[in-house]
Amino acid sequence: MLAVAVSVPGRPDRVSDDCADASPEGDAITVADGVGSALRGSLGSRTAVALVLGEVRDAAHAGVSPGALGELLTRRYREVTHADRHVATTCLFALATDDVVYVGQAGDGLAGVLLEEGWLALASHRGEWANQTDALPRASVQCRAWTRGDVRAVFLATDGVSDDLVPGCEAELVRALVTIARDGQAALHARLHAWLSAWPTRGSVDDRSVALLIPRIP
Amino acid sequence: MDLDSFVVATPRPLPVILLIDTSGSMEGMKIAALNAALKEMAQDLGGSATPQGEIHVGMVVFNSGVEVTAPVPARGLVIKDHTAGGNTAMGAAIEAARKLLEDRERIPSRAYTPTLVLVSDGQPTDAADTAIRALLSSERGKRAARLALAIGDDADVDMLKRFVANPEVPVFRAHETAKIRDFFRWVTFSVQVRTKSRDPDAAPLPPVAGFDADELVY
Repeated sequence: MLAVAVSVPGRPDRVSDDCADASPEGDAITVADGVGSALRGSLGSRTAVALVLGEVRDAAHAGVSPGALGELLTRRYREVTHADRHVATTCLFALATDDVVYVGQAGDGLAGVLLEEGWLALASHRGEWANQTDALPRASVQCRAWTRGDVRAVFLATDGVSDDLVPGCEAELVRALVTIARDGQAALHARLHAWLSAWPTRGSVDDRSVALLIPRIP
Repeated sequence: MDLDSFVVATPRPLPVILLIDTSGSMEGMKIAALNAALKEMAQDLGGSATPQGEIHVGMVVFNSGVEVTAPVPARGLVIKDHTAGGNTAMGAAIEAARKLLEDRERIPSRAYTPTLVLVSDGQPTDAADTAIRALLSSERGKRAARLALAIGDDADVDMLKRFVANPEVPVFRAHETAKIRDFFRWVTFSVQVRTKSRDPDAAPLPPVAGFDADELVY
């Protein structure tokens, strides 16, 4: 099992609204894009990431349903932030247990799984325009679970990345990342960091975060 | 594997779609002033430094019929001289603009929120109300920023207000041809402000200068 999360600020001189992390055990990844003013956005994304890697991950290992997992994240986020709409964030996550892989998404960005038969995005819609963000605490969490043995990889990206991807490239991109992962976690991390840091889209100043979870290294 | 090949290199478009009335009542000084203002706008937008995206300009020119030009980069854009004649098919123009907005090949989802600018000096001779309702109920149309200029005393200001459909954004009135130029300068500035904003979709409209209170209809 391998889990990597990388986040780089869109502008080096600004506080990033994004947050991304992976559990040391390699069973959880999450990315979040804070919305609104810089400090509150940053607070929102860090709060969501902490909840995913803590209480939500624990609940996944206890075997709750995908729906209950999504409701837990929504409820706890609202409690912790007192449902302050100014402390808003997207949140995408993947959690692997012995049997299943949960993938969840609140708000914009890209979350999906690479299966034997191809790429399957959790949400079919990335928003009508760039930077129009649906977010917690208002957004609901979509969550699904797949049998762990069916999942080759899970890929998550905030909209700073997903808005600039070539349409329809997801399966090939994730396969390429799985290939790089054969060289180990450090190599994958370094490659992703270099990619996000020298982002090829001209004029892009969005914060950029991605995460990859591979239940079984091929 | 080059990960950059999965990313679109061109900047995110920031579309501006101009709906321009060239009906017979625009003949003379008005059409001359409009042509001059459009050329100045194209020159200014084309020469703008656009760190956050690339300004694209599209046109929907209407009189008895409608002529649509899909958005193209403002840099290098050439505006031809329009001549006045015919009726005021404003409804057909708004419907054409809605279809353009909904065309994901021409305006991709990675684009920033488009700005629609409607300029007219007369009463619509077709079902403009129906077209406005369709625009405002479409997912993309209702999210687009909408601005309007009423030229002269015969313009249907109420119809233009229904098009703008935002109590915080006035319909501009031009009783003299110089105001046509002033309006387009303000539109140009508002677009330039957006391209320099950290989040072009969240940038507020700049203050209005050069128009008296009775030339702004809320």
